[in-house]
Amino acid sequence: MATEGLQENETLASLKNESESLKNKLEEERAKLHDVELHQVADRVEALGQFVMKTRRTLKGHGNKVLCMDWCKDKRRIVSSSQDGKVIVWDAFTTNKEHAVTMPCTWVMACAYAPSGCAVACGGLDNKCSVYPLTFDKNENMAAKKKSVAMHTNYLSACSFTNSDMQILTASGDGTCALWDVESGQLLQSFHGHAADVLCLDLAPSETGNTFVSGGCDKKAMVWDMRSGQCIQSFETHESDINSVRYYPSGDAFASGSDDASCRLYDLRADREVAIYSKESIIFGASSVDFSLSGRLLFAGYNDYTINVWDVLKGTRVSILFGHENRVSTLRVSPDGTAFCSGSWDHTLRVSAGVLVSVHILKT
Amino acid sequence: MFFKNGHFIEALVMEMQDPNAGIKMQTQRLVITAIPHAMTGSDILAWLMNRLQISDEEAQNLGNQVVQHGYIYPLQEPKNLLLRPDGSLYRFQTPYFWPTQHWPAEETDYAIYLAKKNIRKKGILEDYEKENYNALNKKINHKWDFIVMQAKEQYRAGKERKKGDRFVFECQERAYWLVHRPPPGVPDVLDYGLNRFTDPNIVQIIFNQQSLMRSRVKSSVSLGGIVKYSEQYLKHDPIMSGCLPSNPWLTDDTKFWELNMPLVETPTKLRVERWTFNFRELIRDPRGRQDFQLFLRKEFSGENLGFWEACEDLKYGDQSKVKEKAEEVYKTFLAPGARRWINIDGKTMDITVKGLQNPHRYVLDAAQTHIYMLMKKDSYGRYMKSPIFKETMNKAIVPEVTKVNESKFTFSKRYWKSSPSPVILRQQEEEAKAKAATNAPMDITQVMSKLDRRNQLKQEPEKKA
Repeated sequence: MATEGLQENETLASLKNESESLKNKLEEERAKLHDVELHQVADRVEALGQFVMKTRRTLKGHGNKVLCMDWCKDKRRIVSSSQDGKVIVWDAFTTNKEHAVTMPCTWVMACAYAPSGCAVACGGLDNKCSVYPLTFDKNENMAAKKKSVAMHTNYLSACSFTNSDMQILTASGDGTCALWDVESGQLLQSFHGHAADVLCLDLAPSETGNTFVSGGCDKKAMVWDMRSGQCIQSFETHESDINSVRYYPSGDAFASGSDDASCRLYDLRADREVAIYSKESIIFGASSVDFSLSGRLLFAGYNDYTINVWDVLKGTRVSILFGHENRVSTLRVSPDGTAFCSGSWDHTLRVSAGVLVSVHILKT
Repeated sequence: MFFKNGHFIEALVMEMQDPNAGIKMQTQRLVITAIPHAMTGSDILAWLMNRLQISDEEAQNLGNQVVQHGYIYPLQEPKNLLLRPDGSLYRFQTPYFWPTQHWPAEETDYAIYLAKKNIRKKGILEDYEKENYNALNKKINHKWDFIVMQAKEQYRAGKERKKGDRFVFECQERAYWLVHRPPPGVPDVLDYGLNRFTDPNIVQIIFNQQSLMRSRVKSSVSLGGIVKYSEQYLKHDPIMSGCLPSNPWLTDDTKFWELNMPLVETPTKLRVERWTFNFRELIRDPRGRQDFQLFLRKEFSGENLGFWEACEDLKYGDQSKVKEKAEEVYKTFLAPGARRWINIDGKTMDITVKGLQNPHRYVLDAAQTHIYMLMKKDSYGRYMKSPIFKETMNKAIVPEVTKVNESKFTFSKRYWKSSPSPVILRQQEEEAKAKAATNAPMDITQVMSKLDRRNQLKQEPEKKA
């Protein structure tokens, strides 16, 4: 990846040294403008009360670990994929299964709903990302109309449509991310820079920019320019694999969940990590994170079967939710923020919703 | 593959064993044997709750994880590993049997363990253990003499130990195998999923001079922005503030979704309020964009939004249509005398026209940004003050709270209203379009009115934005 053109007098050690010293300089520069902590700025914000969240729907139908899920823009349908190769489209509100496809591979780790709601993308151990147009026509075999879009040299870990059904962004165990044209399968742009498996990605909700963030087994979160393929920002503060990245709804920050049992918030304008969400009692990795609509809450699913809800601004844990009987592997808040869906190795998906019961007024 | 978060659990377990601050242990009598360093489930739970300041539910979950991973084992014979919140007895597992030890749990060892168990008391094997045993017998049959010999030898050596020691060792071993060969239905805690790979030798020089020189903002400024955003959207966040008439997932009433359809005729007040937050909210909401387009047409700058939409379509559309779309955009918006000519500065026009000689997805970026900024900084402000917006805001509704009928079995599937799939909706749209296209007479009048409009526009160029 980055080892092309080693000069005779450059050894691996000297390159590492140069990298280290530049990294230290970068940390120094970043620190110069760090004049306040997030929770200090958030002092004036009211503390949150108690949340009462309940599982409102349990979706049963997968025969093995649920690995990934995504919401449809209609706010009630979802697509989910599992270890046994099945991809299911549900109306989560009625719990009806509307479509099902069996992939020719196991470990379908990535799935995504197209913006139109008329197609889904998925992939995993087949190293590919395929797009299936959805149809209710009983005479049509969904697998027959499938389009093979992305080709990686290792497993597909994440995928997402951009602003239309025509483009897909993928992340892979081969250490790269890539942007593809769905119709032709053409590679539009590739993104090199991670030193290990890339596990997750998220597209920025910004108004003009074309950027996205990715997280990998090299403990790095990297922000990319979709147009040039360049890495424009990089953050390396986690102590283990980054399993999930998600933008703060304004697009000015993003959160990450890692095997080091912490979630963190990175501010893109200040160019630094600004919060760590961790607790001594949380000792298992966070597999999946997502924000509530306003960005005030961060929902995180963990490998100890729980979901922790964090106050993003104050840095405290607001709530812990039980229910799953194995690892929570995937979690997404619905497009209108009314609920969140969690998928687990216990073969089920759960849609949960709730209310803030009371607000404590801080006495100044 | 190895157990990743072992160091976290081990640190916790070490604290639990601390002679001063750890869990109090005692010698306990089990039947006629005295077992040293035993503790009760309830004591373990209490210690976790106190030390980590967590609820009993959270402590129970954490305790279960510690036991399931084999760091603490039960003394009374359980079918599986759980932390019982009562007087059940537990002990700390010897580090030899910790899951972080890198030697794998071999089939041969498991076979020996099962054979030994069988010798100790015939018929004691669980059903799943019997199955495993028979399967192993078939698979590694060539080693069976060795296995039986080892089992007998270990059993004999065990009998020579003190009763207490023997009992403890049996419990330790049993717990170890419950972790490494879980019974059916119990999650396999050592299942780590797919293998991940890191090459420590790959050096990344991504920290280059560019990232050093990158412009940064003071934390107080950017963090202030983050806090402000979540405050602004607080009322719009259903989990934080609820939603009107009600959250469909909580009341099973879908009215909220019906009132917020993409192109609903009368939007809600909250939705219209969001359009006032920033230009992006307005333009990304199909209903907002529709309203804004209406306003732009009145100002004779509707082509700006049309151009912006065409640029989005080029950027995110089918790659094979890029050239064709770029040409269409040039003809419609940029060429001298174009039907929907957009007003951009000379420099940007030059760059764009030159770029169009070799069109690519981003060829219109400069022009698109210019037009976007124009709409954002100019038209948007005027739209907010316009009669069109004011009327939309006045007509916007505030739904009444749905009173939940307590007697209705809301958890019953019968009451969960289904909705047409986007696939069906698209089909219907396409059918409607096809029908409209075959309706010839109406079509001509539409074309005629369009021509009239165009002539009108051509006569009033000075009114353009």
